[in-house]
Amino acid sequence: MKKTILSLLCVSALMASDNVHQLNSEPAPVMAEPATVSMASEPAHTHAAAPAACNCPTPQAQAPVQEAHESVLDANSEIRISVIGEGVAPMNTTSPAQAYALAKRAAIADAYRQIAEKVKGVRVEGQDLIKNMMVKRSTIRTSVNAMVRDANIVETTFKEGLCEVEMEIVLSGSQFIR
Amino acid sequence: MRSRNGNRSFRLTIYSLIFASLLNAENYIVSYRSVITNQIISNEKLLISQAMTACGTPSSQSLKLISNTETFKDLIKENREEFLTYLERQGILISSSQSSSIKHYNSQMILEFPSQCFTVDFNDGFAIITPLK
Repeated sequence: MKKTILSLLCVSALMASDNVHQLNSEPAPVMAEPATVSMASEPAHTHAAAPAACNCPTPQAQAPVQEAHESVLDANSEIRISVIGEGVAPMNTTSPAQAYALAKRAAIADAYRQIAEKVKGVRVEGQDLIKNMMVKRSTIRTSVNAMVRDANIVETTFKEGLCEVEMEIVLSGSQFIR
Repeated sequence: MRSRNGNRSFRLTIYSLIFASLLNAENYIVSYRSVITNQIISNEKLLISQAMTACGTPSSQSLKLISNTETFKDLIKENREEFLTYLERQGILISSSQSSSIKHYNSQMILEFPSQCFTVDFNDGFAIITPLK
């Protein structure tokens, strides 16, 4: 049961960055934050687990991570990360232009979130409440806090109320290693 | 009756005071915050205020906009998208949280640009915006 829950959490963490792909087909370094364990206050059997994004013991979830070659950012190398953010226009807009502008703002924010998740890592917390051998409640929370600088908008498309913004950022080793 | 030298120093003082006040009037403090809930923008704030004190020296690349306006607020109204993109390139804080369960999914993202001073120079149909440190 524990393995199933952990694998679910890992799959959800991987799905959070499914829109992320890199142009040079090399994954960026993901610095996962330390896992935390949250305890529920219900008297029933409560299972709380909070694995980090890449700390999964299940072999099925680890397989795609192992296949990819993890690149190391040294002083002379660069990593280019490209993401596609999606945003939806609100229902109560006064004009198509306003709908486009608002959807684009939401898409840009989504793209920034994906870049932050890719570069800094995602904090994942899961909580399952099991009562009488049945799952009563299952909650997964993910969060990320970061500052992103020098990201470029490559392309913007707007179709049927959905705005997609392609954004990329170049991580240079000389920025971090001195 | 005043001497010529005395009048000259008086005028110089007045001119330097006017010049200094004009320089200070072109410094602005800008901050930005937007909240996106479930992929739909729900709140957006762009605050602009004139700086009351001197800000410092130019810190990074400036933005050049074509505009015939004479005030910074009108300039931003005309070129809002370009200015926001420029702000985001300076460095923006992203705070995101998502929660999903069997019955519901909820996500919230907050984009925040902390208060920063900018100087604006209007010249012959151009406006040059430079961040100050």
